[in-house]
Amino acid sequence: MNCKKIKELIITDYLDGEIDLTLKKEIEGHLKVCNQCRQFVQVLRQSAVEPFKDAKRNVPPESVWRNIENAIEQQRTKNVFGNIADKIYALFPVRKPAFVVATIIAIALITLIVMRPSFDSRNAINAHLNEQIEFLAAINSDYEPAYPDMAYTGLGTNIEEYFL
Amino acid sequence: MQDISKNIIIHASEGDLNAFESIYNAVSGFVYSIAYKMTYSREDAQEITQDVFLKIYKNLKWFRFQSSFTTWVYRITVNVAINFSKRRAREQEKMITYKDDVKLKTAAIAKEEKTHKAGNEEILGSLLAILNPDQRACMILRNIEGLSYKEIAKTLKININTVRTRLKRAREKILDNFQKRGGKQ
Repeated sequence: MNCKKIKELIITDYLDGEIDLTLKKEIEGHLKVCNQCRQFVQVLRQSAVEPFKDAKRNVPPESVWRNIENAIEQQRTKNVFGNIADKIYALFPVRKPAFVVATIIAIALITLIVMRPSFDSRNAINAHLNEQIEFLAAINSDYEPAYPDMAYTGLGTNIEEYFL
Repeated sequence: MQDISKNIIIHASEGDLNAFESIYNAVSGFVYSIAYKMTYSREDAQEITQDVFLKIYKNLKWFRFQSSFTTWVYRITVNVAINFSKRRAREQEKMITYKDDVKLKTAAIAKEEKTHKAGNEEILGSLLAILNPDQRACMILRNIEGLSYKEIAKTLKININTVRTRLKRAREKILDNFQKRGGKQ
């Protein structure tokens, strides 16, 4: 291994004790003979390891817990609808996005069922459509209507005569 | 960090504020420490700590004990702190250039530390100020909290090689800064 590769391993795995034993032995063997890499380890420890040692654990001031407590209390006393929604939501052991998707699907299904035309109205729609189809088809002269008295005879206008 | 029993977590998730306070007492030290080292501002650290605990309270019912509670809290803390730092950086970017920002941050840290404590913490603050939030989080978790690469990867939900790369880049920056100062911190 050359110095570049050795330095790359030193700066991460070797320094953090994450390196496997074989590589560790190889690096240490290299360090015995390479003054430049030895210096690199020394400077690295001095600049990027030592300052982190004995880093103090900071303690939050008491006001932080009081603020958290107040925020929780405020959340609890939020509007009635919010609480009802939370209770319904709590009944279903699913994540919020899944709950929202399920609610949308349920609403869409209910809407579809409610808006679906009844059997009678569907018959009326079909009869109306058939009438319309027959009327349009009657414009074509080859068409023989089911009821001849309903055949398209034209309105007898000049413009009709010109085009037809 | 103090041990937190499963019962306390369950009680807290059901809305028991006393149980939640026990959790707060056990983990607030490291939450606040990480937040402070990520921002080096007491006000920001307090804001982050509050956000973290409100998130914990809100999401406790979803904690399924499949991973360690500590890892879960670490993850929330680091994510909130990184997002906060990035948001702050974006806000400041609109007004000043990056170099000025680093100078300002270093000056702010120096000012902050003068009023509270000096020495090693001051050096640490100026070192962390030259790193970006992602690198800072990795350095704090590794060098201060003592997490392994695997634990950092799990906490931040990133690849172990990404952890390696972030630590490498962070240390290269620190080393470069150290050499530019002629071997002084």
